[in-house]
Amino acid sequence: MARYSPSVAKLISELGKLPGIGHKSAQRLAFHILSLPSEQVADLAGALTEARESTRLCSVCQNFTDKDPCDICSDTHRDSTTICVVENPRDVATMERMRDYQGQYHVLHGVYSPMQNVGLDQIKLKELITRLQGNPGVREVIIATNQTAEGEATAMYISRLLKPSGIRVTRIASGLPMGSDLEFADDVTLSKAMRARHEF
Amino acid sequence: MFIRSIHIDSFRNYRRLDLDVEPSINVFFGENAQGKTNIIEAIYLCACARSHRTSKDRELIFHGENGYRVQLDMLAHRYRPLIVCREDAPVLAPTDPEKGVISSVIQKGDLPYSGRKKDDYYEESLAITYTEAADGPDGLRRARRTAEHDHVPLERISDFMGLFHAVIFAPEDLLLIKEGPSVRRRYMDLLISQVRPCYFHDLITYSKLLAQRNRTIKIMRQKQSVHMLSDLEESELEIWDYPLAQAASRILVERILFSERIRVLTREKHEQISGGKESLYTRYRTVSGVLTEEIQKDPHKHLEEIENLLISRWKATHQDDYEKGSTGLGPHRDDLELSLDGDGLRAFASQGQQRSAALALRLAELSILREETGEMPVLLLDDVFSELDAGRRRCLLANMEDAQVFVTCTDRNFIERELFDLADPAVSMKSEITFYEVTDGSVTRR
Repeated sequence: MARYSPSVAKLISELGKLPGIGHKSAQRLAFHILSLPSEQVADLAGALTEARESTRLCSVCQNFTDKDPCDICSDTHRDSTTICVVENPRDVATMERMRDYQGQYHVLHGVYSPMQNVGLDQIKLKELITRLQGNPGVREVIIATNQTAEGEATAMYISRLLKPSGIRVTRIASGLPMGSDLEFADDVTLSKAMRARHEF
Repeated sequence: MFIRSIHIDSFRNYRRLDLDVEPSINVFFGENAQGKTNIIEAIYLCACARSHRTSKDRELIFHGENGYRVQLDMLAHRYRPLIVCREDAPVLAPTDPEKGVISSVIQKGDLPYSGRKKDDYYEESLAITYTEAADGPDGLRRARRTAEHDHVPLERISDFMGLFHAVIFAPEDLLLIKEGPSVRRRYMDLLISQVRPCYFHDLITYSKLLAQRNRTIKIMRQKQSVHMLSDLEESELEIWDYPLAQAASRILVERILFSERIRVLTREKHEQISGGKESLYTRYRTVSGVLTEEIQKDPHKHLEEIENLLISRWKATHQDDYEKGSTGLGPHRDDLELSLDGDGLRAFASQGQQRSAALALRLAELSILREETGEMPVLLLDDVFSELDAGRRRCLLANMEDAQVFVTCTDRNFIERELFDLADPAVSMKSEITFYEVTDGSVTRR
């Protein structure tokens, strides 16, 4: 990286560490940042540090938040008898986008995966159990981890853990995307949709 | 489905090859180590998304390059019927797709459509591209393997399975008999994956979960010296038992169903080969011992039962697995057992008997693919004529029917004589044979 001065090289390498940013994008971003007026760069830097410093995990749902408990957990209009368990904070945003779900969330921050060195104590599973123990009002836990081998395994584990408590545990359905043609579905999805078909 | 042309880039000893081929018999001849088998390998790569000779993509790349590409352009039927042919039903096999001539007689009522015309064919293209990991000026790039269907990259390699079918007959087939269970599991897995895409998905899920379970065991062993597992550790292993059993039970059901068909077909084919003197018996054997006779009869109905049996077997062997360091039971350890008149083939059979059994397994594969897809798969014969005696050769030719065939050999005259002499005198096969000479990575039609 001798083509760049050390400070530019450092900026490119830091940007390149971000997910989805390759070397070329990092380069483009770096030069864009260098071309900005210095106040704007200060704003960006400020936003980065501020977000990092003021963001904590909500003590209830473990989602990122500025205040504890978070907006969703402290919203009294929401249904506190239902908890939707998701893998990461991004998934909460996705769920909220549909504006259809009125219950609360629990963010695991990952799934159990020893191959990636993620043990059971690294995900917020204990927190979920403690939360349920302290809230006898919860009637249903919806597990919405990803449809991967590990996501499925974690989902099955949670369901077995909760079974003795009598809480209803459900798994979100998987199948065909809305508004798309059957012919574009892949075989595995289609077969899963066939297996989970229901009566009218 | 017929291959019309083969396009190869930086693959094995081919820098670049564009070759039009015929829908009948294509013979590649030439000295050893000129690249005959590499053409066969390239075609097979597009059927199974992996080579029959190696699992390392790196070995397939032309020396000095950083990736390869194999593309097949073909003509395919518009319909992909599901289980159309019975063993005794006539096979649909048009000899000349351009003219729309249909060679076999089709009995109405046996098939969902009464005939195929030129319009029933469409062009299709399949490709596999591999690029090696590189640390170039653009930063680190990971090794990438992409499958394309009609020039559109597929999201998953599993979507590629089942688009094109080929059966390979090669000298390495003998390993099916000689080697351990893993070779025969691979034989079953490749066969079933081609016609049951979900099976392929289940296999991948299973191997992922198995790796997780074994890793969990390994971590436990690293933390402490070997001891009796605590309840907590037991429950940690149990986390994997449940999803594993889900995938494993589906894998087992398909394997049981297919092994039954393989059993019937291999016996029949083997009788043809050996003239009915010996009888070959195959049986699917589980190390987990979950298969009762009742389950074998109708595995689909017992899916849940198999799942529960597996869970209880795995639970009971936690301590064992922990002490050995890996998961000891499951479909990843099973075998397709072969025996000849009651004796194990691996230990007791002669070289010739083993060859017959291997040929029977391949012919069974051919029949199953034909039954499942309703059309003849492409046949790849890699230097097998010199290894088989006249009787076995005749049997192989009898099963070729109107398939598109790719043959490699060193002696052109020998193969010409063989194909001509052994063929049904009523049908002159000679006119349908096209010869290609292979010399050091280049191919010329002769």
